[in-house]
Amino acid sequence: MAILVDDSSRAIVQGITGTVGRNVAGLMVEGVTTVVGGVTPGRGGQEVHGLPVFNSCHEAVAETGADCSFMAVPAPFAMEACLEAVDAGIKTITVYTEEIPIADGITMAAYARARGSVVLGTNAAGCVSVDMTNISDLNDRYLMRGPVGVVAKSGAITYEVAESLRKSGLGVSTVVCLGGDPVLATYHRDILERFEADAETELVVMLGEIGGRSELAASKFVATMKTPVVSLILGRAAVPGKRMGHAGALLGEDDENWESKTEALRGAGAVIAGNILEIGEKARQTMEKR
Amino acid sequence: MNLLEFQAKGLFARHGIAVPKGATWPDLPDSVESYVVKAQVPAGGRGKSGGIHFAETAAEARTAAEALEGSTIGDHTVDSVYVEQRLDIAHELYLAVVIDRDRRCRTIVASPDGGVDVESVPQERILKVPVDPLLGIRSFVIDRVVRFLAPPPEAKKALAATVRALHDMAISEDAELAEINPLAVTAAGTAVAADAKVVLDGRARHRHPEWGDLSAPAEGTEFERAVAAAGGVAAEMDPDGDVVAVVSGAGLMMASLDALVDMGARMRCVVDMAGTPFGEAPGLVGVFQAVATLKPRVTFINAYFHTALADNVARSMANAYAKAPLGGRIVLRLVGRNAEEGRALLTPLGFEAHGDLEAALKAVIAAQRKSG
Repeated sequence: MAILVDDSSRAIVQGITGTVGRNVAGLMVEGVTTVVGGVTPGRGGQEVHGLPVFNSCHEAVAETGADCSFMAVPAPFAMEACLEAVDAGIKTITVYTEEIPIADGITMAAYARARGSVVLGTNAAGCVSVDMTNISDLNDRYLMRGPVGVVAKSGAITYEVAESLRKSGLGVSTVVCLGGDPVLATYHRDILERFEADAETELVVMLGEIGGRSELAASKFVATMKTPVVSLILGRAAVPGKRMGHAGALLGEDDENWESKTEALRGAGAVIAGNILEIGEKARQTMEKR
Repeated sequence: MNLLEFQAKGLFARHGIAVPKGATWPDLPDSVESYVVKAQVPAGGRGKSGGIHFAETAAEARTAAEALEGSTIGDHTVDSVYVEQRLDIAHELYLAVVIDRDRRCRTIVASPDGGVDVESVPQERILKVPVDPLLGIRSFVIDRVVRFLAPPPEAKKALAATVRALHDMAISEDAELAEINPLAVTAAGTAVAADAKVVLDGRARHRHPEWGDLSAPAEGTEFERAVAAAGGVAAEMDPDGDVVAVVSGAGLMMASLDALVDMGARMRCVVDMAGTPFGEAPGLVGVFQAVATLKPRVTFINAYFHTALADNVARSMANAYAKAPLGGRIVLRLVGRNAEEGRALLTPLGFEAHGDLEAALKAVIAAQRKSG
């Protein structure tokens, strides 16, 4: 059944009249997603790609039954937009916007978790359950459905993972991108728990990176999982004190580095890939051993 | 944005946290008995590195300030000197409000052992209290912090007020870090911020017009600043390295870097185009210009797009290349919609174009050898 979004999901695009929102809405219409509209305050009644635009998430939910959202709202307005989506009962929200203040990310995460919604981000590429629903910047046409769940912080790296898996004959159930910011509403462990409970997902590829403790917390859960995990931590060659692209990818406390995270995952029974090119073959070999 | 001490103390004062009387040299604070003269550099441990001097008279303070101004403390030139009232300190405490990434909240960090590097304080002497963002700061949280700090009874009230004010300041000023070390408890039972460290979240600038006059010291190398101005994020590595990697997305950037280093690449620096489809970003010219100044032997461009059209990206690259020709060898890996067309556009310009990542990485290593 995949996780977070599935066949029955009904998606909206928040910020649908902006450049990114319009573009992603167009891809959704072309693709497999049941996209039911968009939200831009003050633009209610307009249409984008034939989709109705609503003034608020509450209106969109009332009119369309929307339950998931791709959000590309400019940073100064992003927190209110996200809180409104949660308040309106939307259950899965991709916060795609970059450069959102950390304090806003904290508030969004706290409210979403209190209300039982899953927010990916801030600064997240989102999630896609292949051939079902896509609220991400990944393109349906490059994804093949299959038994592997993928969770990573970065978006573009999951394109590479999907490609490596496909070369080894494996498809994907759900891809989840958590985001690149220092504080994220959803961490690896939250997603591993869902993959573990998902009947369709037979193996999980978990990509982590230097900085923060998400992977260390996840490793404790990996040790209890029946579903095998193939893992790779990015940033082994990072320079201390330098931000490696993501605001959150900075070597912090001693054990937030490549060695500690890799060892924690290895110790928990994860299969460790040596580099990004090895992911597909490690996954195939691990599947065959089961 | 890392603030200097006097800037941070200005914020403290505005939010009701007591600070010593002070003035920026050549001014001196009025009617004080003795002075502390402090170099304004964004670095810790100024006492040990000669950045702080004590003076009994105004004349001594002037001499110390003149000597400090323009001197070098650590890696920093002293552009400004702050002179303040010397306090009669009874106890030195540590108090900070930090972001806890994992708990997704702000956390109050407190220790009765202030005035030293907090990293050197034993764990059992440090209290960390997370603040629920939906509740905000509550009396039970403040009471717990004050109990742990165990001040003399007459200072409890002032300390409680300082904890609340520091937390509220962190929220309303969008501070990622607000730290007082030491927080001085004076013989008179007051709590005064003897030092101040504040890091503001630059992403919140849109709601802080008052930051206009707060200029943070520039961070990073010249190259890193040039890339940042163009919208990317750069990290310089080995100054003698041969390879510059420009990559679409931080995760892919790190994955490319790790694999290249494994294969024997000597990396000069890496650039993340911050996940924006960089074909559409006007910043690509700026990034190419910055890279060209480094004169790398090999430039590796790794671009993988699911949404942006790869041929459009290629056209932007050709345009940027015309304005800022990169010297040395260029290895391109371009994948996504219309990627073949994009690669065909760039091959005549001398880009060695690939679709497959492994082939491209091997080409980078080969190019490094050939040009070495």
